[in-house]
Amino acid sequence: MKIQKVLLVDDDPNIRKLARMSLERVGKWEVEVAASGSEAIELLERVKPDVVVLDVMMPGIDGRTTLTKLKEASATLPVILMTAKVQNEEIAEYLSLGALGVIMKPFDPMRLPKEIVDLLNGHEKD
Amino acid sequence: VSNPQQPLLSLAADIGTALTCCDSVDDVIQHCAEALVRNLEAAFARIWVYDDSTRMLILRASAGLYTHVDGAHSRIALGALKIGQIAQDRQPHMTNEVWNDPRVSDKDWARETGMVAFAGHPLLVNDQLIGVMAMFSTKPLSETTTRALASVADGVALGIHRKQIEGRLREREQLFMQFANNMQDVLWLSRPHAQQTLWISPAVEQVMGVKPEDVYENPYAFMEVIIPEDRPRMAQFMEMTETLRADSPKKTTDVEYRIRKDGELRWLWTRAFPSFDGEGKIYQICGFTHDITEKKEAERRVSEFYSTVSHELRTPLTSIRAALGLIEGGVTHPDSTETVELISIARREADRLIRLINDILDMRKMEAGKLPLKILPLAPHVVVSNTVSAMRTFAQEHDVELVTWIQEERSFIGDYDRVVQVLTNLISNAIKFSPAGSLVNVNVQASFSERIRFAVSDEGPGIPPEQYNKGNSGATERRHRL
Repeated sequence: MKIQKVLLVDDDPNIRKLARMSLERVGKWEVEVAASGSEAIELLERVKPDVVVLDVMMPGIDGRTTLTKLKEASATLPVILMTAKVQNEEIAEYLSLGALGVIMKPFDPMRLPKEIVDLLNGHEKD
Repeated sequence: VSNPQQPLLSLAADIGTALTCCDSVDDVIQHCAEALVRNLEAAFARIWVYDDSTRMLILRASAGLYTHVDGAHSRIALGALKIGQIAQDRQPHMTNEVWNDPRVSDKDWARETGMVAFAGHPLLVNDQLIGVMAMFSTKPLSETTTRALASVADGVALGIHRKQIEGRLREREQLFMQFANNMQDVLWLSRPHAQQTLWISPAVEQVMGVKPEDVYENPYAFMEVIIPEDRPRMAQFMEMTETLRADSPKKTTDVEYRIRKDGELRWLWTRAFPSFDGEGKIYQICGFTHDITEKKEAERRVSEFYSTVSHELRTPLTSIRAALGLIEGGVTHPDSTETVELISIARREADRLIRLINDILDMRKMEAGKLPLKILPLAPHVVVSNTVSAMRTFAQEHDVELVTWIQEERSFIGDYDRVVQVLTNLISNAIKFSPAGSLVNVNVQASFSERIRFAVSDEGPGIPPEQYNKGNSGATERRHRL
């Protein structure tokens, strides 16, 4: 699958800026950002991203709820989670809710696009 | 002519009755002494009980001519007088010629009272000295009577010994019951496979909310208060306990489980100790149950603390790592303003990391009571304007406007750094959880009894009321750094 457009969702402005730079310049993708789960859901229809990169721990509606709502809106939409939390049970829960995979924070900005591609390819092979 | 055996048979019967008549040692031996006087026409009969700790014979029963237990012969040292000597030698002493007996010290008394015969027996059980039984008579004692007295002494010795053991057991039981009934933990004893509850301490009602009588009636009554998801664990624990053998390396089993008591969830810990028969099989199981809710709660808080701290530390590290990675990867031109901006992000986030670590260290110091406070008069507007100006950039990044309203100008006393820290945490939290384009208000006003009230309000999602008092617990993502 060819990625053209990524929707990046994170409440931290620094991380939004840095991850965007990584996805745009290293991944050569078009990037739209959202600062909250509700904003992401709003943008979904207009942006029509190929993949969503979603921070798990956000104020307002949290990553878990956002994930569920995104999958409700588009069951085939690949959603990749980013988290600074390391509990394995949580990761298993996100996967069971339909997340394609989990990327741990801190991430390597030079490798982030490749990690996303690998997750998508791994998914397609299945 | 009466049967010469008659008094001895009657004595045997009386002694038998005496030995089973009463609870206390004193009552039993007093009845024995009276039986001797009544059936053998003894002038008087006395029984001393040996006290091992003082090595003294204590007069505890007296019948016939003398009925007092105090006075000259009330306490006799081992080996002293004829009574002490009988005890020491563990040999009976008998005579039908009291006036000639070298052991009888007061011969005048014997003559005056017409005492002819004396019989004294050590009271022994398996070589253990219990006491001495002795009698004087104004008539000679026949050989048959003498022999009968030896067996009476054996019976009395056994009777006293048994009563002493019973008394000690009763004391032990009282001691045990005092522990068991007043303990906050549940103690219990049951047959294997919970066929029958043999005993359970009354604390079961307080700890588990189950009445003891219900557990006696149905040994599985406690199962009903265990929450359904933990019942299999309890069943497994019971099964594990049953599989223990006398030669198992581990002879106890433990289980942690949750119960619902008065609508509240409680954590309990139960440990079982089986008792094994001669073949190494379990014949009964004892154990105790302890409420560990507070310990579990403390564990949860610690684990939550680590999880929150690790998340809080990873967030600035993520920005630092990403900014440096982009510079190193040549994503931006080295001389560009973009690179300067990335360096600036990394530096700011490094500062944030330092603050976080200082906060954690301060928390530790505070918990240990080692955080010294520098208390000085402070002006509210200085505290607020310094804090707010340091937060401007952060607010701009989040597209949030900071508004201050100082209604109280009088100074107050406090530690400048701590007040600024609390205010910074409140404002930073408010900014973080504010929707873009909204306001965060910082307000200072007079409060009751000379106090000053600092208030930070935002238009964010707020905290659900049920989590108000959790403070730093991290149970909510909001306000986890007060």
